[in-house]
Amino acid sequence: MRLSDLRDRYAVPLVVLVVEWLVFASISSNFSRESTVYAILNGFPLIGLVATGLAVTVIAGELDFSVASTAAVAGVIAVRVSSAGPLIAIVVPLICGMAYGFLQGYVIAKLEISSLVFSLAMMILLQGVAYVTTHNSTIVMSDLKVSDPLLVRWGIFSLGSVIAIGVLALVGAALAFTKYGREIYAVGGGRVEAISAGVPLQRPIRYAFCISGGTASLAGALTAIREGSASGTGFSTTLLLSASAAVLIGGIGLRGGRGTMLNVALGVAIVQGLSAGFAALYAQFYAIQLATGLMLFFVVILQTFMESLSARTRLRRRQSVRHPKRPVISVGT
Amino acid sequence: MATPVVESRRRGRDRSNPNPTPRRRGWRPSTSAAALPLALLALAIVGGSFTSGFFSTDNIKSVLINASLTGIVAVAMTPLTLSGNMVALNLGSSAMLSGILFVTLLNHGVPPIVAVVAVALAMLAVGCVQALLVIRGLNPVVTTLAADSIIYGAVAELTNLRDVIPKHHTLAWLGSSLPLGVPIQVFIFAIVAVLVSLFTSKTVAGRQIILAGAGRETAELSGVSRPKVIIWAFGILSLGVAVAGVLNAAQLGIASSTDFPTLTFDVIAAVLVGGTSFQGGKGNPARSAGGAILIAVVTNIMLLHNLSTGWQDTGEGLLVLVMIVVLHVLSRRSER
Repeated sequence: MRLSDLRDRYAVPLVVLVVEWLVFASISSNFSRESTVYAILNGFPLIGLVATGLAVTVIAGELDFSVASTAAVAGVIAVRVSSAGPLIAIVVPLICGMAYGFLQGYVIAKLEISSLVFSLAMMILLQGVAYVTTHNSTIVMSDLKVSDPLLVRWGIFSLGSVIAIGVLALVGAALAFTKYGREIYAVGGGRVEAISAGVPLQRPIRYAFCISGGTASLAGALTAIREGSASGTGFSTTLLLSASAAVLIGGIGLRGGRGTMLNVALGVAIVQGLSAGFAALYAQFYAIQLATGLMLFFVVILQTFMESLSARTRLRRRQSVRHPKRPVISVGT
Repeated sequence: MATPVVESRRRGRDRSNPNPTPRRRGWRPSTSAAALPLALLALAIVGGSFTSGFFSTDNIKSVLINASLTGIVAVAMTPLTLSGNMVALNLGSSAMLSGILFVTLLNHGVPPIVAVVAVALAMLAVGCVQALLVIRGLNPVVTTLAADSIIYGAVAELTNLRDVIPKHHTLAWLGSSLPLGVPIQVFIFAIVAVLVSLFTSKTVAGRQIILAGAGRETAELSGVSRPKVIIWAFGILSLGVAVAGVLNAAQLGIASSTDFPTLTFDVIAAVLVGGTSFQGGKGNPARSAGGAILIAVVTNIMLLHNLSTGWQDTGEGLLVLVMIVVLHVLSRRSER
């Protein structure tokens, strides 16, 4: 891998993260390094895991809009089975979510329907299911001791953030080093070329949605168990917004086939760092939302600018290799 | 100079159609065009015969009022969807902003007509900023997603989450007026639906929007200006959102930053149920209006059967799911 590739991939989010850190460290009087890192890492069990799933579908050239609703339903399942212990309360929703995601991916791939449209419908449907199964109120775990393991703090880590970061790394490794992961990149980056090269289209889409269903459910279950309760309104569209903001700010373009889980981690750290920084300034939640929106605009515009810049240098480099037969790349109107 | 990049971006956006063979798109009478009215009719008959009170004048009026605000925005968003720019995600916050702006202007003694025009102009400005960013190459969904956070955050910051209450007079004269015996919301919904339908089918700009969505390369080769198409689409959407915001504030007699919590996805559901293709080029505003009414009918029938909002959401989701799958399968069959 060339250094310029690394720069194209990670430079923007990394610089943004460092600048954000320095700004908050200098203006905030009660800024503490350890608690800020802890707060950022604590965002990984919810926003980080949901963003992971969303990113995998985006890399596959699709989009899973139903992640937030999936997390809501998984939270309800986790609370309902919590009397059997924390392990069951995590594993059962995870399996349900993976099965649901696999099924969703199967239908999308089989029908060749737009996943944006299909998962939007599933989002509305699952939101309704979350309301129905909670009877429009908050349901509480019968045994609140089940939350205990998730409330322990080890320095900057908690069990939730360790699990979430582990899953993020696992998904990242699977995408980068396994055949199935490379297939996901292939169908996202150039679908027509991938099919011509013999990549099966349906399998990577099924697996991508299976991952997004699984990580979203894990996020919902971990959060519900930590809080000891779940409600239909628990994860409204704000979760979807912050997760997509994290994916986009991290540098995974909606074009598909690009980006790694390191991009997701950086994006989540930036979004979560904003919340942590503003919370230390005693700002309201809507100020955080305003800042996240502005950050999203800023980073996306910056990325668009950087892309056209690097495309231009690549073009110049190619043109500087004077080859008489090389056709001049036509300039669009 | 960035032609290769733009090329790959285009290919990427059309990824739900992995079939590499070129296909004809555009206006064709097909079986899928008849699916929505048929489903609507069947539902109304079934629902009416099983549900007491469904066919009463008051109930039908309330169904139409419920459908109208979503319907106005759904109709106004259809040109954007038709132009191949998918959806806007800032509908709820923009409508909320126009409602608050309207009441605030009235409180400063601005005459109502002037206030409505000022709100429309302000929303046009907000829409144009986003349109310019989309023209510069930003993804429309990302742009409107960021705009949603910014508008909501800014309004909540300025109002401190407090309601904005009309000081001098109530707004009942506007919110509950009955021109020609029809509730004002329904009246304006019908006008907006007719106007936007005429725009997309009869005007040059409207036809260019559909052409741009049906095939971007062909449209560009035919001299259709992409910036112009995007400005028109965002402009009409902004006006529709302004109208919905003003009407809602007038109806409730109050405006607050918590208004329209579900508008964005209700509107998207209405456009989807109407069968306008998210790839662009296929569909029309009247179908989105039909989609909004159909969703309102289904929700109303569930309400009359004493089902909770959870069941109503589930029903709405099922309806959207069934409609998109049916329309998708039908349109694929008609292509073969």
